[in-house]
Amino acid sequence: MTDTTANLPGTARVLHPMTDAVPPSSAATQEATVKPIATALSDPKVSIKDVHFHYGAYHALKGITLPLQDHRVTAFIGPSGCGKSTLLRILNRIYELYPNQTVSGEVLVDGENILASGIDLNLLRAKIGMVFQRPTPFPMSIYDNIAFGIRLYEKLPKSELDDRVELALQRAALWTEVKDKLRQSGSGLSGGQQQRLCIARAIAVKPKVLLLDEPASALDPISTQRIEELIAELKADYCIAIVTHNMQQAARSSDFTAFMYLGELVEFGETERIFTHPKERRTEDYITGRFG
Amino acid sequence: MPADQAIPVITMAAPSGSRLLRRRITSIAGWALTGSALALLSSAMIWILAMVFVRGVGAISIDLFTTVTQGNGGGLLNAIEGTVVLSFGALLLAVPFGLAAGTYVSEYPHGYWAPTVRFLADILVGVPSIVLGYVGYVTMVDWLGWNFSVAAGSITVAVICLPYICRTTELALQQVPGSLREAAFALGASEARVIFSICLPAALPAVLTGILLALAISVGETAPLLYTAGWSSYMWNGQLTHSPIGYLTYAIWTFINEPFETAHRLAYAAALLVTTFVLIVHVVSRFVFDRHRQ
Repeated sequence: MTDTTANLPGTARVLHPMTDAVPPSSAATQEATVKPIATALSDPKVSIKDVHFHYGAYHALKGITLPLQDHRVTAFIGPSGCGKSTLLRILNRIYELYPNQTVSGEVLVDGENILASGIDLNLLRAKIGMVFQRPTPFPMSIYDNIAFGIRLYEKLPKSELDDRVELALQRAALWTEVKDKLRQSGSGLSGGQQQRLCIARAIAVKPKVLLLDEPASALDPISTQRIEELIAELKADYCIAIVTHNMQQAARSSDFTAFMYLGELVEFGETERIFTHPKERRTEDYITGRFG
Repeated sequence: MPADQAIPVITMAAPSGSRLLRRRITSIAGWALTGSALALLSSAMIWILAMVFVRGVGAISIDLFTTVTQGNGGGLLNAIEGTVVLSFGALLLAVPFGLAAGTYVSEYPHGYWAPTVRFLADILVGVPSIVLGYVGYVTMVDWLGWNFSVAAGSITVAVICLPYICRTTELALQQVPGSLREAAFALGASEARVIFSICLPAALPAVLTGILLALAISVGETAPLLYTAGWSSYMWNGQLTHSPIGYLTYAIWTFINEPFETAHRLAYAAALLVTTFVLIVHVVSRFVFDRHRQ
């Protein structure tokens, strides 16, 4: 099922009109592209092992096993209800906010099983950042939106906090647009800006993993492009998992792709191969638009 | 030819005369019913307000705000002060408990006590306030021996306000999108942090609306205070128990039945003050809520 050995994606991609048009700007990105891929692959950031999930009696995930590599983007595609968002929501155990949802199996993050019972959920969620489908600015200023997460676990002097907020907004490509109105409410921004604010908020706490649950599905094409550019830049620093309904988006912005269907992982491999030579008939049918 | 034939299909035949007539009659009847309902409601409202304002404005004078009640005349300073004290005391008690109960019911809907708290709040809304007044009389005034007092009056009115604050807080918090909660939890925030830093601030305008309505209720209550606060023609002496206190609704209730012109003037002046205040509170709360909606 997993195919992570041949023709590793580093620079070449099949469909990449957007990120190719925008050369990586930060030094960190360039550093990441020359990082030896073999080391990254031998030691996945996240190992999902035989994960099953139940909503009450409904068996939503049936034995999912796959790795998430550090400094790489892994895209989850598949028709609605196939379990891709559910899988993402297991990785930070946000599903536990709701009753009657049970999980089994193992998810190792840096070797530690985060599904174990003794795990501090708040600490776990601070380490695994998540951005949701709809932008969710908190009812506070732009500055406080970013500082909210930092203040939860760090007590920083004002100047350092200012720096962290600025850095996060710069990484999310929002700084130039908001630097003169940091004290204004976050809900006054446009939809695309709000979503970048949410990404800035997630990376401000320096997580190990970034989970993106259809981050661009509620946005217009221009904002979507900016988010995709952002993902391409952020992978220099993070292990990124993205759920998307948009196959072009998966092809453009991911290194690995997992195709899920009816709660099962049908196929997983590097994005280029999945989109050009899928091994499974169902994968081919889905990416060519025969169902979904 | 097909195009010519398509035209009559698209532009449907005009309704026949009788059907058009029937439609018109139904429409006119609908408008007439709606209009008369509006006229009936607004005329009742205008009648009440006009009467209160016309008679009340005539009774307003400087003395009303500077002197206390003397027999069947004088001013209303003691009653104004009493209403302020009683309402303040009632909100002081009802707001923390109401907020806490509403937050609990909304944020822990699967909690053991949540259905019970919600059920009790609903029951409490349905209990006539005079019954609560009587309970207050039996327990605090009589059994605890507090006599007519600020404490007995404030606690009774607080119990009346409590379910309203609880319910509006619950509804306000339920309006906060679940995605906002998830986003806060996803950053690693604790339950307390999510509730106090995210949910309650997001719900604040609607919560404030509920508190303002509770204030309007407490200012307008009469029956429970007759049982618990008594009446005093003097200024409040600062004691919480063993000392009755005046309030505006008492002036309306009692002085309108007195056969003296001065007593009537006090009653109408008190009615004007209470009505104006409640009106202002409703307008302000509507304003707060509308701004929240935008």
